[in-house]
Amino acid sequence: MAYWPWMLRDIGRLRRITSILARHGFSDVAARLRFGAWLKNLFNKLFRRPLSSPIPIGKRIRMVAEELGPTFVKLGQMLATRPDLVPMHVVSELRFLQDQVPGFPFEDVRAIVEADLGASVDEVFASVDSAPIAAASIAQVHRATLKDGTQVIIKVQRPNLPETIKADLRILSGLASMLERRVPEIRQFRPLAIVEEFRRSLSREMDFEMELLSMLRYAEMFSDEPKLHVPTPYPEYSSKRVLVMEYVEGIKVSERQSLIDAGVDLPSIVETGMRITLRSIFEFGFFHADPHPGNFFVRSDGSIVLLDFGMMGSLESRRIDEMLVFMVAILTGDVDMLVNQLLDADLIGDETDLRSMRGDLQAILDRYSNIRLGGLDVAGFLAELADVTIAHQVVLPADLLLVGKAMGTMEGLGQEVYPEFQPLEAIRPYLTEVYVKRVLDAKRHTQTAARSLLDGLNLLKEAPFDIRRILRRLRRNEMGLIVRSADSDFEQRAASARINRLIFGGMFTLFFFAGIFLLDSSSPVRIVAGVVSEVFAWGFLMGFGWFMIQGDRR
Amino acid sequence: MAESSFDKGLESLVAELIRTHLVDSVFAKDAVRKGLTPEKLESLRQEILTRLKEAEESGLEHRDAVRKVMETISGFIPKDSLMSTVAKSFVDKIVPPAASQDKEEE
Repeated sequence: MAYWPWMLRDIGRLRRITSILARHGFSDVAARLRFGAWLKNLFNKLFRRPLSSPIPIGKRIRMVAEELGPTFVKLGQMLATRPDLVPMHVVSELRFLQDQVPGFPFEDVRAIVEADLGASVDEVFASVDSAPIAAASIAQVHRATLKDGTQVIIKVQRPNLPETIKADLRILSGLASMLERRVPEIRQFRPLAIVEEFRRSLSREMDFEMELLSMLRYAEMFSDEPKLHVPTPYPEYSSKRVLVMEYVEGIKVSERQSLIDAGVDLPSIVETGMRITLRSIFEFGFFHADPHPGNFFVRSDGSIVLLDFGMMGSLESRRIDEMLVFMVAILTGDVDMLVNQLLDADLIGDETDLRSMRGDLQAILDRYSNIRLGGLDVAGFLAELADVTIAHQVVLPADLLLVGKAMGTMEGLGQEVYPEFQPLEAIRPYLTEVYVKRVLDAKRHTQTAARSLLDGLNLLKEAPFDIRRILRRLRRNEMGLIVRSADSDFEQRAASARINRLIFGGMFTLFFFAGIFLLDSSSPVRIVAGVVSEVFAWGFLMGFGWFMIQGDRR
Repeated sequence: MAESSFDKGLESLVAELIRTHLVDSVFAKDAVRKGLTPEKLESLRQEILTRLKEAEESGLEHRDAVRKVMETISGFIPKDSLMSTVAKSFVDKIVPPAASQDKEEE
């Protein structure tokens, strides 16, 4: 049995996970995973807990994650950004997950810094405060002074973190695999893919060299923005596990009274924060994916200091266009634009009833368009939108939800600092203007056209070789297809019909153009080959047509 | 990186296509009209038209470079075939030969 190796290897941790699950009323999960009914009974005897608990499930999941430690807290925080995967009442609870854990001894800090920088702490720093100013699941932070008197902070990764996380991820992968096989209602949420996405996101967050590069990139992006300050990192004193950066004095953005006492212009802070968030997403496609209040400070001159660049989101140019259309359609209540964009992004399956989905989307857009401008809850709105699309077998792109999270957090922060703030008034005109400018940007379209032309030329250049390779394989009977078996006969038949259409369509194109090239010659051999090629091409076209008709019949 | 003649010529063509075929339809979209005030819409429209006109004019003299590239590519298509005729009319439509441009200007 494939599960046993990881289960045996991590038996201690697995026992702790199952006991915590049972303590919070999830012993039935063990039974569903077929660990055995005996285990379920044992749980009940040991903990004398009923299978169900009066505490709401969302709260129980949060408590389980907090008790299980950093990996599960981080997983919960990631899932809190995915209302497309997790029910809304669970998402709301997961948003309360606190990433605060006890600190670790200064001796460990010293050992890591010295191992990574290759010098003793006293050689690099004039002084280091042994008491941490903050401790979280990934790292803890200390104040220090460099030899030249510069005040800095040192962010040091928790000792043995990669090993701990590796073991937890192994268990998570194993559990996800079991869930995917044995709990059909969970399968559609692709738990294995989620764990994989989580693994990638966590490994980026654990690499402080990457965080340092993100800080430099963000500072460069906003070099024209005097009201934003990104602390200067010190690459010469940093490594994968140690990050040294400038210490910046400031007031936490959530401490409204302190801001007022300091005479800071509150509307200007909110306006700057929103502008930075929108520009980072829609202008640069590189944004802070975790902009919670703890990461924002305000200096006495009113400029914002942004911290913690471990979790960044990035969007490629085409994705920005898609996001813009989504957002403009949503914010202006244009349901046709929204449905068209879902179709263009290929998110709507064949089974979706377009008319019914359009009606449901229209209902949400109408309802939200009647809300007073300041009362719009972007994150809540996106979550509700996700619920509707899921009901119609459409899964919204994760990027959109991450963008929604970033904007929603800024919106909440804005209303906390300056309750009169009306987010829609800031967001809607900005996004519409960016959308119009991008759609009508000649330079951008030229670059795309030139790239497509280059791709086309490369394709032409490679075509004879590719055709020859395919013909050789055909001659040697080496052409084969690996088809992943679909769940049901119907899906399997549909998948093979699609593949057949793809093959016949592709072969027609190849032989058709090969024929044209060969016919354009004075050599009789090539002309004959060209004619043969054209005959093949038309044969494949007929095959393509036949599979289309077959597909329609089914 | 400096822009080549081809890039400038292509941008000039793209800018003309956008100005003549796309600007009106984008500004007529419901979503765009709802998203901006009428004053902002008008100023944005003027700003974009000016930018497009500039791009169009600055690459006017380089359009021949685009024509040469397109002719080279269409040279791959066998002559006297239907595809060749289609390709030629496409190139003529997109990048009119210099002589006919002059005639139009007269």
